[in-house]
Order: sequence, then C-alpha cells, then structure tokens
Amino acid sequence: MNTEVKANNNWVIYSTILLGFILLILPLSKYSLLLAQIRPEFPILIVYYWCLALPERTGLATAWATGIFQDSLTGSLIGIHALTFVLTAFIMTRFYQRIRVSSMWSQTFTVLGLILFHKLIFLWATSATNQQILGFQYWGAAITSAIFWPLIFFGLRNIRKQLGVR
Amino acid sequence: MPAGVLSGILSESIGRVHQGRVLRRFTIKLIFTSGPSIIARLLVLVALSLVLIMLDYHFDSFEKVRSALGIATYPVRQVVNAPAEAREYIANSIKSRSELLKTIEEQRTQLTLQKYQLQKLESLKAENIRLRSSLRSSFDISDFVTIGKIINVDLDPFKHHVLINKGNRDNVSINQPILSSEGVIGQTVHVSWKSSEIVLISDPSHAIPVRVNRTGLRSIAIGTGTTTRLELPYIPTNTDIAVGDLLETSGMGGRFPAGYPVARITEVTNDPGQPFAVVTAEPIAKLDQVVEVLLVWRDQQDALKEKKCCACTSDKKQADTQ
Repeated sequence: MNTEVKANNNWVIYSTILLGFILLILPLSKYSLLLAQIRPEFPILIVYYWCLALPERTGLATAWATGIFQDSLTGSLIGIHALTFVLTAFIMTRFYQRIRVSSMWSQTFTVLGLILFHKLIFLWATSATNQQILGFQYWGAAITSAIFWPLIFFGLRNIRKQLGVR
Repeated sequence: MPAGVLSGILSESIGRVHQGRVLRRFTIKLIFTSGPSIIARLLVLVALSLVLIMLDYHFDSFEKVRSALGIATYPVRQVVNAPAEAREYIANSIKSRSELLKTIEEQRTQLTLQKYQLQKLESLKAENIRLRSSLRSSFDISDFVTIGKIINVDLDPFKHHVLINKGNRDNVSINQPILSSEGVIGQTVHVSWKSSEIVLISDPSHAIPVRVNRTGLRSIAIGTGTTTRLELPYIPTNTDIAVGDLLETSGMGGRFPAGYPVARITEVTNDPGQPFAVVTAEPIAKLDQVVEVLLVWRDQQDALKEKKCCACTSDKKQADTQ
C-alpha cells in the first residue's frame, strides 16, 4: 500500500470542468429559450464538488480561472463570473468539513444558497455596468442547479473513486 | 524508504485517533498551511476580479485581452458546434441527384430574376448619384460584403448575442454592421481571431437609428428583449406613421450604412392622455432563425486590408461625384 499521497490525475479535474463548459454552451436556446435560461451552472457545480472532495488541490484559484473562462465563453464582462465563483467557492472551501459530512438534502440546500448568492452578485455586477436582465427565470438556474447537485456529486464521486484521484 | 513507510503508518494511526478518518488530509493540510491563508487568497482574487471588471468596462483596449481569451475558448466552442456541422455535412452529402437538380433550377430562375432587377438598379443608381451630385451631397452606396455563418453555441441567455465564424483573421472590426439576406440583424461587439460576437437589434441594450421609408421620418428602434419586437420611443401622437411602414437604416451615427431594411411597423397606439405614441415594429430578418449573415464594409479596401478610418470613405466619394 502506498502511504505517500501525491497529487495525481490532474487531468480528471480539468476535463470534468471542461465537460461542464460544453454543457454550458450546448445550443438549447434554438429549441427553448426558457430551457437555456434555467440551465444549471455546470462548471461551478463541478468546481464545488472538487472543492469539497479535494480542498487541498482545488480551491479559490481554480474557481477564479473557471470564472474567467466562463466570462470569455459566454461573453459577459471579464471578471464577473470570476468574482462570484471565488466568493461562493470560498464558502465551500472554508466549511468543506461541515458540508462534506452533512446529508445530501442539506448539501443540496447549501448549493441552492450558494448559487442564489452567485446569481445575486452577478445581477448586482451586471446592473452596475448598465446591463439589464429581464424576467424571473433568471433565478430558475439556482433551483435547477440544486436539483442537479446530487447527480453531479455522485457522478463525480464515482469518477474520482474509479480513477483514484486524490 | 523504510523511514517514509514508518512515518506513514505512524501518521495514519495518529490520524485515526484524532479524526476518525484517514490522515492523508492532515499531512497535506500541514503542507498547505505554509502558503498564504485562505482569507488572503480570497481578498487577492476578489480584488483582481474587480480590477478586471473595471478595466473591461472602461477601456476599449482591454478588448485585446478578451480577444486573446477568445482563442483559448475557441476549441470548446468548436467541439459544441461540431455535431451541427456534421449533421449539415451529412445532410448535404446524401441529397439525391434529382433534388440537387431541382435546387439548381430554382436558384437559376431566382438568379435571372434578380439580375433583371439589378439592371434597373444600375440605371437608378447612376441617376441618383447624378442628382445628388447636383445637390452637392455625397451618396454612399457601394458596400462590400462577406458571408459568415452562425456558430451553434449558446452565449448568455439573457442577452441577444450570437457568435459568427469570422474574426480578426477576416478583418472584422468592432461595431461592424451585420445583415442577413432580409435585413439588418445587428453589429459586432467582441472580435476574436476566428470568431466574433454580435449583438442583435432586439437586445435591450441596442438601439439602431432608422428612418421611415415612406415619409423620411427619423427615429431610433430600441430592442426589447423579444426577437420579434422593437420599440420606437418619443414619437409624437400626431406623426404620420402607420402600421406596415418600412423602417430602414438612416445612416445617422455612422455605424450602419443608410438604406438597409430593418423592421416593419406592427402597432401604433395613440393615447390622447400620453405625450407620445406607442410604436412597435417587427424586425424583417428572422433574428432567431438566421443561419448565414453578411458582414458589411463601406469600402473594398476595408474589406481587404486592415483599415480604421471610415469617415474618409464618404469624403472621397463626394470628391468623386462632384
């Protein structure tokens, strides 16, 4: 048994985040605009999982880089997603020990809260820079993100265990 | 090596005593406590994000950074776009011969008809330039276009932005007008190496200077966030404007060349209690179904070479016509 623990399989973390980006920009608005508007925030959910599972390796820097990439990908002001992702990932990283041992229900509610917080700061930042966001569906993504959280959590945990990412 | 194993076993047993969980986290946390604290990292990254937001919001030159980031995101967009392209390719390659022949025949008929219309246009154009030159005003009609395609990816769903497959490489510049075969659809906002982002005229943050084709009344058409609706604000109630009137670009502001169709008036409500009429219009181009777009340059040199100055184009033309 190898007792020395080294950071390994970085590519797993990065490719799951990339997969999140692909899910984020899949062309849904062609079929239903509402569906595109309430699409879960996949990349940051995946980052949350890795913050929870491997807080020593994935943390604020990863969240920030993910945010910058998402800003570029979705055409928002550079730095907005980075800001909200860092703030919410901070909560995740700071309290990972408590969140990790809590039940799936309370984890889901934590994620709901975090995404709502993310949406709130995002709304504040976009309106501070003279852009409007219309409609209540804006908040819908928080609910769908929470619904998708157990799926992402168990899915990524399986991947992590199968590939032995530590 | 034995020492390492020993310390590993030792630390693991200590870890069990302390936390009831495997110790590896304990050892790794020890390594990480030597780095900057999490609060410090948070503050640095938040400050960095805020600085980036400010830079991107206030300085146009930051566009270069965005353009560079666009190169990094390009592969992801390509991956997402690939299935749609593959589907189109397959659909094209399995079309039957008779079907293709039929399409060719249809397009040939259409081309002949359009050539016929162009014959008349040429003489009208010449006449117009002659008349305008007698009035000593310039008339800019020669625009150059390139065809681009929409990339099948979603951007921010709360903005009306789409991505096209032409960028810096094809001399696309910021604020360049974009048309479809039917009418104006928007202008470029961010340009990257091989792709650029365009804002549609229906985006709530977009306004386009227009003129009513029938009367010459000038106004502005503002996006509403719905692809089938534009609003014309501040139209007095006694203005001659009617349902069905065609709105075309007025050329005011200098971004959109004059004379391209934009929208058709769908509703005019005159409420005597209100100072202004409520006027809405529907874009002529099907904004949510556009597949191919036309990028417009004022001048062939702009289309071929990198060139910034737009005002000099019309001056030159004025000199030519006089």
